[in-house]
Amino acid sequence: MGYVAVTGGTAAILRADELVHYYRVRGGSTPLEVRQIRDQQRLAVDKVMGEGSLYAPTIAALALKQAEGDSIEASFILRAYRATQPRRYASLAIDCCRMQVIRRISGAFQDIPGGQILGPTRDYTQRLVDFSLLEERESIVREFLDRARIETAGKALPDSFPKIVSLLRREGLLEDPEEGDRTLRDITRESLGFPYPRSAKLQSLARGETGAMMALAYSSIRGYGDIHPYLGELRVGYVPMYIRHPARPEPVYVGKVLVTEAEIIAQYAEGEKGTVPKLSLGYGLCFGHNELKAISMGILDRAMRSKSACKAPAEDEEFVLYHIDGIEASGFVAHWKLPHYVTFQSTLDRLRRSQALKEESKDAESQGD
Amino acid sequence: MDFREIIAEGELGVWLEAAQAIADNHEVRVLKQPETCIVMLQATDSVGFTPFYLGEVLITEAVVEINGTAGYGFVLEDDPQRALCMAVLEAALAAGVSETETVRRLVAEEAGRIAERQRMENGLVAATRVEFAIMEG
Repeated sequence: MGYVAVTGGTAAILRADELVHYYRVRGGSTPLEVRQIRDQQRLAVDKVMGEGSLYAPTIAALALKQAEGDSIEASFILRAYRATQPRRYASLAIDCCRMQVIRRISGAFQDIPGGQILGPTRDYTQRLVDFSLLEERESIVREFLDRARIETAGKALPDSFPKIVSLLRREGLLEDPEEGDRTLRDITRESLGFPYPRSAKLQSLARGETGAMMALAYSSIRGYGDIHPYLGELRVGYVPMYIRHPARPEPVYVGKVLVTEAEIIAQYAEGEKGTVPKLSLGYGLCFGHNELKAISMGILDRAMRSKSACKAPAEDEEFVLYHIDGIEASGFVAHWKLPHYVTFQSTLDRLRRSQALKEESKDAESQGD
Repeated sequence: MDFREIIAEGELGVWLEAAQAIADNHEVRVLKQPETCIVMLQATDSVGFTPFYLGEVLITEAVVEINGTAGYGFVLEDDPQRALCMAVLEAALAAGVSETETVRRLVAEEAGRIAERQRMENGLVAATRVEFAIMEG
């Protein structure tokens, strides 16, 4: 039977909402400033923007404050906010070659043109609790910032970094781009059937939930798949965004957006007889600084193009794309908290009836003996 | 550096003061009050060079007119003051108001400060350049 709704409970629901507010502030500490969250919880803000699919750092920080740090709840709030805003423009395609890089590394090549730039990373550090942060004060932060300004004098960074994959492509080591539907589609405006056009796949992945994508990518690299990826290049930085406006003949600059881009090199393309073996690529790009998501996206993009006859979950496009949206997934999992009294009662009725029928048939059998 | 980039990255207080000075001496007609809206951000993947939508970006836009010349403000996020300042300053420069030289000077000064900050941050990033050596045997 279908879901039967409930009604009432307004007073309790309102008080529960107030109680949420109470639990958020009952510790009596100074209320968090949204700017503090935006500045000092930047990776959480970036995650929420990516999963909420809206680049709006202040609103994302506010959503995190409202959601008491629950990133899925915050991305839900952000996506709901997005629905209140009119969409007036589509940007020109951003160019990641023009990225103002803060981090750029390759896991596949030792020497890369432009060099490896670690940037802000914890990769090579021990994950020990930093107890000094317990005593972090404004004066300490100011001193640190002043010292950083002096120490960096004279070190320069190239204006742009060449793409490593374009070097591979020039050498003829990469497979040619696949033919297929390359039209620009928008999953927020149209309902598409599987298989998705490539643009829709990438759009779905770009707004996916980091943890879900990581788990599926992990399953693939652990062995439920046949991709064997290398990280060709990972770059994090700011890209300028331009729009076209009827009042201006030239593209109009609107701002720079922080993104993470990952290019995954998979071992030889699953060769068909008679073809030259080549490397293949997977592509990951997401809002903010979110390396796990960009790398997972690159792995999944490549895994979903697997031509294997027996596909692992991470290679099944429908499976992956149906399960990575954090808002859809959390909504469905969480909806079991809502009253299902009538539907469950119906299940119980059916169970009791089945048990009774079973008893009756048992009795009939024993009488027959 | 793009004029809009300078206004976007520069000190808001500087722009507010400059825009106010222009508004005090000239009639600024607000054709479009600052309003938030969304830009769908397009990207291109490097596998097959397929265009796709990465996600949406919140911006604020505003339009003003000074002496019949329009100025447009486009800034990231919900930032009505900055959008209005950008529109006023762009219209003022295009209309060639008497404060033009002052505005140009302020824009150049802020551009210098932004470039200096960028150089500093680039220096911090450049200091993390690494060359790993492969261990023998």
